[in-house]
Amino acid sequence: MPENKLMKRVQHILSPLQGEEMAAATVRIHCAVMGRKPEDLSPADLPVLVKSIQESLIIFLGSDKAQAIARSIEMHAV
Amino acid sequence: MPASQRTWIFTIALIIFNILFFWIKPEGKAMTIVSDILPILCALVALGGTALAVRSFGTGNRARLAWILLLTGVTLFFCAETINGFLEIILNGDVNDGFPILADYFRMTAYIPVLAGLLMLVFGYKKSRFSFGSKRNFIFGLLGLSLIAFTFVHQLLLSILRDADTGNLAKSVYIYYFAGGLLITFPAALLVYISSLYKKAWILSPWRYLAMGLLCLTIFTIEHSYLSWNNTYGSGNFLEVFRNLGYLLVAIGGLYQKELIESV
Repeated sequence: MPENKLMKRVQHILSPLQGEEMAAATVRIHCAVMGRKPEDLSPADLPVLVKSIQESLIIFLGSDKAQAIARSIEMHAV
Repeated sequence: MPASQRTWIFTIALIIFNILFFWIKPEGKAMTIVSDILPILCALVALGGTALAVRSFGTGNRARLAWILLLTGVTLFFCAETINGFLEIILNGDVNDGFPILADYFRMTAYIPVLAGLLMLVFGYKKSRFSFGSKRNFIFGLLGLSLIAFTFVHQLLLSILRDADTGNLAKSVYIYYFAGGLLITFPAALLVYISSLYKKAWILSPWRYLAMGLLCLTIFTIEHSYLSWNNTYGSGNFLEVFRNLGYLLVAIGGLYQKELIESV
């Protein structure tokens, strides 16, 4: 899979909590939901991607912390 | 040192003490006291761990609700253990006589919120769209577990149901324990499986230990029911180590959940 800086940054933010494998899976799964390939991710896709990832984290962390992660992605991924 | 690490040390120390004590088998009241106090203590630690997990969540979300249900179940288990201990230590009764006793009703009720909490976690995971691993492993695992569970329960339960000396109320409670145990085994085993799918996924650690703890408790309850019916159960049975370990693993799961949330 070709490298994509945005994809790498999102994975980097998620990996302390999820580990590298699950972080990569998170990006891949939520890109698929958007109908995008992870290597084609662009900053324009970020709001939808972040929202989708945030939703998926609620069952593990609760709404507040899922939102905190989402904010961190928005701030640091671009 | 984080609370989870301290609880691991406590768990190892308590389990070693538990095994040694049961192996030495001291005479007199000491065995009954230790055999009854340890589950109360361990259930209290589990209650503390799950309560801290609930408190660490923000308000109004499904993860918190799932943990509130689990906390409710653990609280009912704690009540059951306390009643058992009170009957045996203070009132000098034998909890294996006159089954079911009051503690059994608490334990039976505990199954409902525990099952609901586990199902919420499993369906929450499914909704998150994460993987359940390869379809082949999943189906073989499910079939294997169903076969083991069916054989286990079939053998034990049929003997009880065929017994003319066991009353209908007692039979109903045995069926409930076996069926409830099975119902909890599936989502708990699924959570252990899910938590093994991704390497170094710290986010899945709370579920792993919570589910392993509940599996230990379920195995204990089913075996305990059968042995009590068979009149072969007594204080100091090594099966109790499973129960105590189960409670402490639930506590560790709760503490990991709290530490996970605080780390964000």
